[in-house]
Amino acid sequence: MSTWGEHYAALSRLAVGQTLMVNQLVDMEWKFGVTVGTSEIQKVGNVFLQLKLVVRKGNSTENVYMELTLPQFYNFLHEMERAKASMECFS
Amino acid sequence: MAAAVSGEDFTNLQLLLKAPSKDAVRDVCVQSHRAPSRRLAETTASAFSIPAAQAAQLVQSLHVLSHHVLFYNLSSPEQILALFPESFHSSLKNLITKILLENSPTWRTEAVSDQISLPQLKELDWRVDMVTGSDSVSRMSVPTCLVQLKMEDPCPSAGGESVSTVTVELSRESLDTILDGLGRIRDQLSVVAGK
Repeated sequence: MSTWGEHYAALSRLAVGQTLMVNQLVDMEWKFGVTVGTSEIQKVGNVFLQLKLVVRKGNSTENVYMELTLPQFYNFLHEMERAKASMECFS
Repeated sequence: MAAAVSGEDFTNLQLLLKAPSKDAVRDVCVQSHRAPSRRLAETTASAFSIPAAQAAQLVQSLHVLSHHVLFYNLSSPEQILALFPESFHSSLKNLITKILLENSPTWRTEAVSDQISLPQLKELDWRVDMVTGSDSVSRMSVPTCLVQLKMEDPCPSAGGESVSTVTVELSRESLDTILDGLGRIRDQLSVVAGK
């Protein structure tokens, strides 16, 4: 019985950890910089942010690439903070 | 692409003297900026009573000129007037310069939003669920977050979809890690902005 008591917490965590997750986000990479010029405009100067999300699909992973303007980035950050606050309501 | 404006282009531009009105000049300038199409050449030929071949050259030369002005960001009358040869019809030169200056801000905004890019994040929605059971644990109470990202490709390849949607699931730990990463981006951005 005592062995069960010792390991119960770890076993529960493992079992919970095996719960199905759909399209689990496993990694996020980013880079940002300034667009210097384009084929249409010699001098530009706007900031861009590129994100790569690594998503687990079944046994393999898929990379999702996207670009955000600064306002979109701040919106993303704001929404994720709200999601976190919502999660914390449950604990 | 911005080609250089040649003497031949300016010769073609003098065909604008055949335009029925100043508005007609304005229309053909604005439309040729987007695309010097054959249809535009045909409507211009009939509006100006000139041969279709000449109208096509006019539309092409206008396209070259407006893109040259856009590329080098020529934003003052003096800069644009300086492009024209000495012999060019003076009032027409002033009218063309005025039209180019009026439209430049719009053209620049359009060029920036049309520039090549990875798919742009357009919409972000999320929901937080409480997982109460699964095939491995009958009773549990673990929050999880679903985030849906809608992305739009500004220049999709032929036959490709322009809007794509990805839904990802985040555990609490993943969400914390993401917030950590986003916070670092925000700090790095404010360092860059401060410079």
